[in-house]
Amino acid sequence: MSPFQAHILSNILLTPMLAAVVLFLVPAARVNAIRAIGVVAAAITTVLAIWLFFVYDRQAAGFQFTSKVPWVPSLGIAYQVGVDGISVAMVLLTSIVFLAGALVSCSVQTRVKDFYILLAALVSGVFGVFVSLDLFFFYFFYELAVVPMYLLIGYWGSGDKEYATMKLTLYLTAGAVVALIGLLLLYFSGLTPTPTFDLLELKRAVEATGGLSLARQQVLFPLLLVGFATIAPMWPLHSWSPIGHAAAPAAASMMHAGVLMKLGSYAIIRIAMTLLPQGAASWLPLVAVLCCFNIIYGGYVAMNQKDMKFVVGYSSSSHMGYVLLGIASISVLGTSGAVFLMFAHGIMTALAFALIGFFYDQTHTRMLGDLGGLMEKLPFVGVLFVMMAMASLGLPGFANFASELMVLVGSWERYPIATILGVFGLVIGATYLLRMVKTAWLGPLNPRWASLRDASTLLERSPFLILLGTLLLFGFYPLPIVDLIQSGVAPIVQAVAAAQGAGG
Amino acid sequence: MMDNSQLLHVYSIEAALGVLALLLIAVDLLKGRGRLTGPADAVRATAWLGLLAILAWACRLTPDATHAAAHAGRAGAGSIGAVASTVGTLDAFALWFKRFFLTTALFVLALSGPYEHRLPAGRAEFPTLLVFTTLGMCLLSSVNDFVTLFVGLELVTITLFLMSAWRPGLPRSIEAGIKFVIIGALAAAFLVYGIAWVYGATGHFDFASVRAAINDAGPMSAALKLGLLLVVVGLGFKIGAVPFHVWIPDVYQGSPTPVTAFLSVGSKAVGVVLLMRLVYSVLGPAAAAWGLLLAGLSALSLLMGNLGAIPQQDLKRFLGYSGIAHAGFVLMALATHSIDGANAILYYLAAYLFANTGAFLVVIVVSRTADNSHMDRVDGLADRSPFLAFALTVSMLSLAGVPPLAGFFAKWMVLRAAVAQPELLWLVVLSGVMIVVSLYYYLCVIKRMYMRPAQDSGVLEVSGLSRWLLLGCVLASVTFGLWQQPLVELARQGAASLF
Repeated sequence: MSPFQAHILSNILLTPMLAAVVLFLVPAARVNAIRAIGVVAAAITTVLAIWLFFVYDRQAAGFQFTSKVPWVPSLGIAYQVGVDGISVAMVLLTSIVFLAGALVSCSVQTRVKDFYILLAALVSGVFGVFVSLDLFFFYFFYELAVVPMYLLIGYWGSGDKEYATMKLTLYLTAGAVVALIGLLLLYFSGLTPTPTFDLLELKRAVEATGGLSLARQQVLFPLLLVGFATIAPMWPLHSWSPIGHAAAPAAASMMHAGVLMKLGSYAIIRIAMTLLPQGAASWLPLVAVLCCFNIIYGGYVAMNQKDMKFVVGYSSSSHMGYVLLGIASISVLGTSGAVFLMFAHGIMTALAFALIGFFYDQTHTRMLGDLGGLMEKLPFVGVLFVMMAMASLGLPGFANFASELMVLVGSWERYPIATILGVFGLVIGATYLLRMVKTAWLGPLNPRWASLRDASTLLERSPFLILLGTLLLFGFYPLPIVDLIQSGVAPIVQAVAAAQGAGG
Repeated sequence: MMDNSQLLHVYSIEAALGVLALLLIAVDLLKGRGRLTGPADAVRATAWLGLLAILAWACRLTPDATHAAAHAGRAGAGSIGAVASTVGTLDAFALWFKRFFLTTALFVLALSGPYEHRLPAGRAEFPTLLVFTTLGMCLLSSVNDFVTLFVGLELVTITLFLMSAWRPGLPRSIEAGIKFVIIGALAAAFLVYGIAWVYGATGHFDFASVRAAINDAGPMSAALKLGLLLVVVGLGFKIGAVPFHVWIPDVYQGSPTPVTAFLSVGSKAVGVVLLMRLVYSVLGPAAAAWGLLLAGLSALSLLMGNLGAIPQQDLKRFLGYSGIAHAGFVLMALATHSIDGANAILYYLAAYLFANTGAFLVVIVVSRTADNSHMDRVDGLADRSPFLAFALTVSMLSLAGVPPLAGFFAKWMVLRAAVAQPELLWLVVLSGVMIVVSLYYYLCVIKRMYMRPAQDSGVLEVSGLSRWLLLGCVLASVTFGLWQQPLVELARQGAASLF
């Protein structure tokens, strides 16, 4: 492998960091240069991520492109990166949403420099989580991804933004601290002869020795679960999420709902299920119960919202219920579907927030009652919105359909009731999405909006087209990504299933 | 016995500081001669050069192996006869703190620059007293017996009394000075009384002999326990641990801001260095029984500091409460009684130094026009001066423990050390809750800067030196947060020399 290829992950990770540093040095008045740097950095990561997607060896599976640099040896910390099929899909998702977000953010007018610096910092954190194979750095990047959101929402947001952003940051930090205590207990649990944060070494120890005793796994797993499920967000820890989405500026909502929430489910699969398979086998049935609340309750609340961003926000927690159901199913099909849905939902919800952000910039309201007939003035955005809604409600042809189907088929065997509720949740989803399309986009045009302007330039249209194209591409031809995800999911799920079989 | 050359070897930095202080007085006396532009400027310049030279010297010094070697010998032989030095030690731990105190002194000197025009008189004496205080602090890093400990502590405390009441025109400053004197005297009384009990119980003043008396002679006598407890109380005042924290908010608020910074970093670290000596050098293995006491103090400090900081409306009081909370973290690491804990404390103090210096410098600049430090002085700071707002944001986030800043790694090290001790799990959980609470109030400061309109549109001048210092603090917070290895290793050497 060429050095470039060997360090592809570090390159992906460093690109947004470097962009943040460069942006620091650019004078704040040179707005166009700043935007260009942000977009170019995002484009580079996207190209690298697509390349990674193609060169990852699905036959060999396992962690690839690993590299390790001792960082603080006396404390057992090493900078170690590597990806398996799950992480590759997540890296691809992050880079696409980052690119779309950077393009959408060209409409930001105030403190452009600070905005792009924070966006780049947030993305660095997210990439870091997805590629880290060291628990210290995993946590480091996890926290790094949470805090920039505070300022992104607090300054550029709308509505009750100060309350929303504080709630979001404190919730996520509280979750992170719980997870940290769990991680440190895991570190000192004597899994390896000398304590280490090296995820690969810990994983080997679990495979070789069968892991910790059942009792310890059953104590540690809920700590990690609660910590990471806060960001997932699992009911009843979800209440930060809809108001956070609603208050955030477009690009922040996109990153947030599109990518940040996926950190939680990813961490549950990557760390909790991998290192504590027996704990997972004992506790995942509880997740299957709680996720029904996500699906039904989240969907029901979404039906009653008047603000479009709240509709999409609650629909996100409803969709995350399917992800959690897939994870809880302990079947390769269901969990692969969950990861695929993380990808598909990330793209779809980013598209939703980008489109809402586009007209909100002009209307300054997202209240369904104030809108109406927007299709007449915004045909391009409107058509894309309808397609987004179709994707979201699970129309075949979009990636969401394929992934939700995988989740439901995968979970049927173990949790038939939850699966039936999940199918019912799709009907609720169709209700609020179609209601939103009807009220905001169809019907007579509210005369207030006679002067609205549609997305006309390529620059304005490109983020929407990128996202929609991705959804359609993987909707019609899901095989490459499903193969990829399955190669990563299979060993983890099989270990949990084996643990469950052994534990009775 | 120790001959003079050995004494000079251990205390070379202190000797140099003493010479520097006398030199500053001499320079001040030259004011009538007309050769110097102004006595205060000349004194300040001399103090700068002197402290920089001494810091350079301190960085060149290498720690003595004798202490550690003697320690190893003692551990092997089970007796304390091998300890050579009774007057002081220059181990890696002492050297770490000497460098720390000299850096702090330089920072405070730099902080007093933009504050100077608010000092009515005694501008030349201020750096002189600062050097004397630093002398006391460096002395305490090497201290190896209770008598020197008391002398050094009095030197630090008395000079700080004077500095905290440096603005006689301001009732608050007088109040701060008086409160500090009374509480300081109380703390000193506890300490000296405790020392007397320790001496009465063991017949020794030097740490090694007391340690031997504690660890070799079966269970500790009540008199000895009382004495040590009183010493802990006396030092508890210094670090501002609850319930000995009552003086902190008023004294912090009333003192001139550079002095507040000195109190919050230097004076607190003095308490920490002595507590560490007490726990590791004097108590030694017997310290395990004291873990619960330290953990209790830590829990109270975490609760009081973090919850008390929430309603504060004055930046300096706010930083005072936040300092109480940080004392709680340091005590938590101390309660682990492990080398990882000691390592974490040293790293924590370094992170705290850079974050707090940056914060106080911003406080000085924003409170210049109104001469008060009400929280609304930072409202809209991001519009008035993006650089200051950025620097204060970095300071606040580092104090809150957010990556990629040094404060994050420091907190992480403390938690790592504490989780290793199963009996401290309750404290870890409490501190976890308090981390979230602390993030709330630090974010509130950031909220004021970025999301509130400015109260005052006056120009904020940041002089060249202040700008560089602020930039340095920001860079240090980021560097030590991302690339921790060099500082961790240095701290580890210091921590290891205690065991």
